[in-house]
Amino acid sequence: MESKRVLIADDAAFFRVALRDILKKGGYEVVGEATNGAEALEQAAALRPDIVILDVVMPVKNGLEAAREISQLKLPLKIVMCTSLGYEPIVEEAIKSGACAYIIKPLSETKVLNTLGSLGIVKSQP
Amino acid sequence: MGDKLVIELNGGRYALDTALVTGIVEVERIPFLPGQTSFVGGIISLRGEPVAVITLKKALGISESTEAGPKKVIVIKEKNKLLGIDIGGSNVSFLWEEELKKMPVNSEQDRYTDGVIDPEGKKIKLINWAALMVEAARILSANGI
Amino acid sequence: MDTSKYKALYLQETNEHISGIEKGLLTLEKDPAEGGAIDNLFRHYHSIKGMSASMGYDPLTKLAHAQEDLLDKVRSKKIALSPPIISTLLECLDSLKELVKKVEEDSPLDTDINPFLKMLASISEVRIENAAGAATAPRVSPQRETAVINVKEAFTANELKISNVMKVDGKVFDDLLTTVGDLFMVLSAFKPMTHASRSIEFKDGVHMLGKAINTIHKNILSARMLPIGDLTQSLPRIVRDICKASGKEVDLKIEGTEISLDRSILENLGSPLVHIIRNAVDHGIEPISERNSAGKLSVGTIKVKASIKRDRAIVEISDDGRGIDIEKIKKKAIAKGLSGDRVLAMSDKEAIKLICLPGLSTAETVTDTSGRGVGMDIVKELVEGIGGSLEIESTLGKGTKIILELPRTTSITKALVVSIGYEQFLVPISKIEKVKEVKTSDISGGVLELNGTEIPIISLGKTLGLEDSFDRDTYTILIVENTRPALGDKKLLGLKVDDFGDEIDAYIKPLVPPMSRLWGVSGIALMGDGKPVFLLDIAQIVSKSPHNNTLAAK
Repeated sequence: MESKRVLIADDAAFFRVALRDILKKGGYEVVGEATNGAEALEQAAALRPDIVILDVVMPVKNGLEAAREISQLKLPLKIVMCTSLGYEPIVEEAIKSGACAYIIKPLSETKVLNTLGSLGIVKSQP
Repeated sequence: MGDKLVIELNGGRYALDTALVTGIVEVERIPFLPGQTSFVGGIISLRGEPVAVITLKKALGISESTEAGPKKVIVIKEKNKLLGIDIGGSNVSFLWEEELKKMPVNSEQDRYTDGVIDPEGKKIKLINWAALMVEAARILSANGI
Repeated sequence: MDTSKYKALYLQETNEHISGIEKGLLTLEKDPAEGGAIDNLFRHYHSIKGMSASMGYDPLTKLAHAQEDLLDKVRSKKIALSPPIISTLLECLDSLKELVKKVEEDSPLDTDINPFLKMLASISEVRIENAAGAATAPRVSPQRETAVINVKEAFTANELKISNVMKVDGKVFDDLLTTVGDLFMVLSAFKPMTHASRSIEFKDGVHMLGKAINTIHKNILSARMLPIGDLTQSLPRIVRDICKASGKEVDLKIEGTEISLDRSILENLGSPLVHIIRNAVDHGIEPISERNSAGKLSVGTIKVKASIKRDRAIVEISDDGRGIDIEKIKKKAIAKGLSGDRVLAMSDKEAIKLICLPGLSTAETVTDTSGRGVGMDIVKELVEGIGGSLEIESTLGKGTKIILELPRTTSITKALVVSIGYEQFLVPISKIEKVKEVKTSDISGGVLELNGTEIPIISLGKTLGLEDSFDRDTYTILIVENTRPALGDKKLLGLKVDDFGDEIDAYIKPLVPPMSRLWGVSGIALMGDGKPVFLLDIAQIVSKSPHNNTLAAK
């Protein structure tokens, strides 16, 4: 089976590296890494990933704005929001913005892989 | 079917996919590879990478001896695996895909060949490089316990 | 999360955020209306909090969180930004800095953050009460002055500093090492020329070049070294989990954690180490009842001990379990199709190595943790894959000890160039006790007399499958340690070659398919002229030669 292609957006390299390692272990392919919401939008359009993981708090354009605009592209991808502890209220807003799952930091391998595993992506979905 | 590189060996003709060929090296002498037996013929380097070499004539059962003097080694690459094929002083020529399209492939097989094409009555056997690679790896690891 | 790996990145980014905070607070100090500054500040604290939480640095997480909350209130205009807020934030920032420094130094994060948390809480509390009326209250100048002084102090205390920890991708070091390898090979092409040259300048130049390359090499290698403790620190947890699953009790002792190894070797040591320990718990240590009836303590002991022997690292994993039943192993080997005569003639030391054959070490019972167990064949392969070797010692009923001998650094090995006929090989200097040039007549009996003892001699060429070279008047004997039982209890063994050349620093490439399992060699180097030369695995050659078992010096 072809491995799922993931785009990561987080302003902290720390989390990008951590996520990249976790995803690699889980058999995902990290196709792009964005450091803010605007880059995420650009890369989502250009790279056509299966999954976009967006951090909520990012410079230039935050994760919620990015999620909204990425959803408007109507691409066959799933958006997963990443928020820090203490920002659970944002989850609801995230879902409204087009996210279909969320991960609460601090990250852990099981948290990330279980969340992504539960997405049930069909590659050819319109 | 892709372009072919054709090797003339003692009158017989053998073809190899050009897509596999990553280089052709001419050497005076091929250094020894520990435990080399059967058709494994030594070691060379291509662009900074060591390459194990097999002697094609021995592999195909055409000749048992190793000829002295300069030789050509065709280096093939598949994924990250490299293998050198020592063709001695033989000549090589090419057959392009355009010409090949019209030719029927006879599925006549041998241990290391997996088909025959027949342009103008000149039989050309298609080398099964994968079988050669597997057998070379087997020979090269057969010496441990 | 395995945090050690991310620590450098954590420090780098946290320090960047801290200087961002400092800059932001100073901007606000000058121009409180600067709206973007608050958003940025908020993000910096937020990032520090998130990363600290992932690393498990509690005080840092709490402190950053409290400051983030305060800023959130400012941002959402629940409270007005005031000089006391800025000075409080600056004071808290110093405490953040102190904690980060402690992280960097690996000291405990014992800074008391409670006063700061209280300060932050009270300042946001007060403002909430007054939010309606006092948000636009005129600023009192004395407060502003104190804040300025505070800012100045903070500024001079830290001056202009960048972090000592650099974020560098491991691949950069791999590339650097490859380049140094190329330099070494260029050097080895120059060196023979200096022997022939009369130019002092040329000789000096090459000498200086050599020294410089050596220094670069040393620095790169030391930058890549990591203590074995980085790897073993997660072992107690793993052992605890395995024990829990199997209902056994094991006391894990780890020694020599300060021994350092190249990161790539260390990385690849993890998996064989865990396999060995799993096997030790599952198949070595007996169930408590069995231990009691054997008169052993109910708690088993597994010891991991790292030490250094010459240029190699030794890692011993020993247990006080039931040991390996050699007779059972022999029977299994025969059942698997090995010749009965051959197996029965084996000494215990030889027979115990049989468990490294595929399919022989798997247990009869399947356990939760290791399933049927990762076979010792896989473990051996993994260890050999990083240029190491594996020895097993075991006493039935007493326990098993597995000894791993590993290179400490990768790629560059001091080696002696030796020649046999037209062929050249490299022999690691670490394996050579002595090099002796002899006349053919000195070794006519198949032995060499050295300081009154007879040293058996085998032909390296024949061992490797080379045909006999021409007869010579002189040969070179490489004297190495004898681990070959067939040659009696002699401590040394002589390997006969035709001649020897320079001692070089060879950049060794690992063997890749189809050559990855080549017998008798552990790597390959390309010489200055591009010629490939094999680095011989002397331990393997000495311990068992498939080609020649007779003494051949004629």
